[in-house]
Amino acid sequence: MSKSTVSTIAAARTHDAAESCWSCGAMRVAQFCGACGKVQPPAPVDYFSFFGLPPKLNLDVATLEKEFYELSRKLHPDLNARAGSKEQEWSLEQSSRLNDAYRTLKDPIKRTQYLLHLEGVQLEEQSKSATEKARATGEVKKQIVPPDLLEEVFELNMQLEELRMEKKTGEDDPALIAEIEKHKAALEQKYEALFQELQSYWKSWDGLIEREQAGQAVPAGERKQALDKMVDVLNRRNYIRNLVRDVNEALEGSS
Amino acid sequence: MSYSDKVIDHYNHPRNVGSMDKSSPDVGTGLVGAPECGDVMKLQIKVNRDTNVIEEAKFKTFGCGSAIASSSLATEWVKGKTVDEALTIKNMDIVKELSLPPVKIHCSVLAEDAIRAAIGDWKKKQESAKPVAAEAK
Amino acid sequence: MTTDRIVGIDLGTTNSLVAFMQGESPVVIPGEDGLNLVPSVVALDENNQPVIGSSARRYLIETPERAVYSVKRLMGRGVEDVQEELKLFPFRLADDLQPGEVLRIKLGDKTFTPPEISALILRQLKRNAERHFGGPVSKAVITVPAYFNDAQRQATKDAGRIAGLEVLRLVNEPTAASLAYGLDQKQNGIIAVYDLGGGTFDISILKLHDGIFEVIATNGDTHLGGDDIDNLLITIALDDIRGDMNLDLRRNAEAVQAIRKSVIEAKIALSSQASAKLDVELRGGRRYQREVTREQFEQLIQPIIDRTVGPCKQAMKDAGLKPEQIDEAVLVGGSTRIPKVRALVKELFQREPHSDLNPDEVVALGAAVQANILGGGSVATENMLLLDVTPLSLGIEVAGGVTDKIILRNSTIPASATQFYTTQIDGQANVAMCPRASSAAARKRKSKYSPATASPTSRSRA
Ligand code: FES
Repeated sequence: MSKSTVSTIAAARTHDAAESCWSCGAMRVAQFCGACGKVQPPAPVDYFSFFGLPPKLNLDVATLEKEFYELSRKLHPDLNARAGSKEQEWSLEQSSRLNDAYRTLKDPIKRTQYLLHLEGVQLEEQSKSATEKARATGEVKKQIVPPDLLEEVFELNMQLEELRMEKKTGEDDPALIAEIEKHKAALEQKYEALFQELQSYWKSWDGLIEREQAGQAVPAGERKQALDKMVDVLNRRNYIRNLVRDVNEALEGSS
Repeated sequence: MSYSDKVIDHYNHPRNVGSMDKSSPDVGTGLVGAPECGDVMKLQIKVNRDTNVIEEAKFKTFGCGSAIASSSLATEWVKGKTVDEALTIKNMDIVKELSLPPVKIHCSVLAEDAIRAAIGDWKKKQESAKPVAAEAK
Repeated sequence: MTTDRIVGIDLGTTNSLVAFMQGESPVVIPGEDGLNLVPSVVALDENNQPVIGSSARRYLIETPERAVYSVKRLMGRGVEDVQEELKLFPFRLADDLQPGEVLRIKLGDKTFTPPEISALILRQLKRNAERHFGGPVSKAVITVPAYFNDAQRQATKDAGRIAGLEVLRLVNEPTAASLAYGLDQKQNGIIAVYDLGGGTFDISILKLHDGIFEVIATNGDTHLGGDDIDNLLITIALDDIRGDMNLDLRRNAEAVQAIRKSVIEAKIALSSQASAKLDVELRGGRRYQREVTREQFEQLIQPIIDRTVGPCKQAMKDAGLKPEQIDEAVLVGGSTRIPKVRALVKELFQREPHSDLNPDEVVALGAAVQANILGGGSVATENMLLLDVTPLSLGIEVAGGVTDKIILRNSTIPASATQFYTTQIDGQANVAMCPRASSAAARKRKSKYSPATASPTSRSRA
């Protein structure tokens, strides 16, 4: 999981709507005052709340973009260049929050990873703690990735290595290339299918959020199950992504 | 500006790269992956049936420099150890030896996993004992 | 615009310009000589007084050891980084430079850092503007190549400060150019800005949406430009002279400058003529003459201009766009006057590129537009907003020397990221923070496992 893209924040879900604008005293809107337009001090909210969205995964990117542009017009430092120094600072912070939030939410994978992060799933830790458990109990660690996928990844990597060797010695093995191409097509299909699978889990997650919004209690187990499924898909996807990239690199120039 | 010298040494001169016959009853094979990055590692051991000493170890890793160095080091370490001794190797030992940075800890986890998986595979073969059924794979 | 005047400055490798927003359109402020372009040349005269611009040019030939040009190539770089440049350019470094020290360049018997030399150019532009306004100018927007790294940007800011200018923003050159174009055309769509200047190459892809200029991807090469073409031709001429006349002029700065002048003239002529003549007077009444046809010229420069293809493709890939999705291609920088370059751009983006605005001036004009926006805007710039990106990934160096990338390249700025780190050793009380920028080129991932050739540092994580 690329922790690099998700900045860590206090996941306060809602902000205090009762606060008022520091400048004109009117009721404040999240990032800027609706009455006088002044930029407000940043509040620690998650990216979904920043855009006034519920933490659902199916979202309309075109609407998000429009919202992003509109907020940029209010918050960007260039447009607040003549404001007081405090305001300029807030504008810088608010605007970088806005950019981070937009960059994260517009990308379906980053959005999913971010949600998992908000929900406290620590992907980096998973494998390590499973290993520690295996060490303590002496049991064989259950691999997070299905063995047959590992097998396939390994096999294909062997073939790629062969291809690279051949390229170095100037040989050409059309049969090998053809076979790798075939694998590649299959992998790309799988990659697509994984995305669709992920989307189906989005649906169940969103359904769960909707139930919560309607005031129904959602059992923790159900929540966890929905999250686990997404983690699993993302893990498998990492392998396929690497593999497709490597295949492309190895094939480059060999045709 | 880059990896520690030990990592680079293992990376440039990996020890024990290769493979052994995985259907052999004395060979245990561990194939593991790091979901964080999508890397794979295969580590094999050949165990003396009478002494339980690991006589031979081979690996093949498709992954980052740290993963290659970790698995290379792992094969060096397990050789000459008994199976039970080998099970005491912890990923943090590898981290210390190679001075891996925090972001590369999972690479060492992968190596420990591979040792455990290989030993697990070998043990399974010993349990299903005598008639060594040629496995499906 | 009532209180303070903010000017836009293009601090170029070859030429520099200053512009401002006059009413509803940006204009370049000419110098005393009536010319818009101030050559980025600095010299010391007989009395050790700095001479800047066109008047400094003659020193390049007469007393080359007292003059310097293309100093932008040295901005923000250390002795270690510039060895290549030193082979090709007659930069004379101070003799007592220690490794890791800021570069110092010798002019006569004095030494200057690159920012100090750039500051002299900036000061000249400032003077030109002040003469034009009849009042002081203290604030500026300065443009830099999009692919400049942090040290290079910092050096540019330093230059501004030394020149007595408050640098409100550094704007990426291709982005600035797009502002000038956008002002003109007022339309929505995707544009690609191809900027091949004297010493740097940038490609930027932007999305224009009701006055918002959103950069989606940028790429480039901070050491690729018209200078490289000149150097190539100079090398050929020097070889010719060595072969035909048995005269080795490689160490003769004066002669090299004379050849450079002739080569540049020929290069410019070849953009409109089928052939041009190199004609250089050498010592002892000898003469070097050679006819160059456009065909020969194009063949010679092909490898140089081909180096722009990779960055363009990478930028399109990063933007997730195919050539047919690009609505406009815009040419910026003097080197885009070369027909062969135009042909390449046409092929890359599959459409006839625009060059309605003077490619030498468009960056400065755009800087003036940005200056106007920062100053509170006007009718023309109302609604205009520039959303630029970081061209390089930013990261923190962690133990073991690995760089943990925390802001990926092409992220809209301002951007922030928080990452938690633990200490390496128990009880450790201090940590050293080492921000790092990495270029796309350095991150190209090598084959996974071929110990003989791959380096472990080349692995990247998407
Ligand atoms: S980065 Fe994945 S094993 Fe090293």
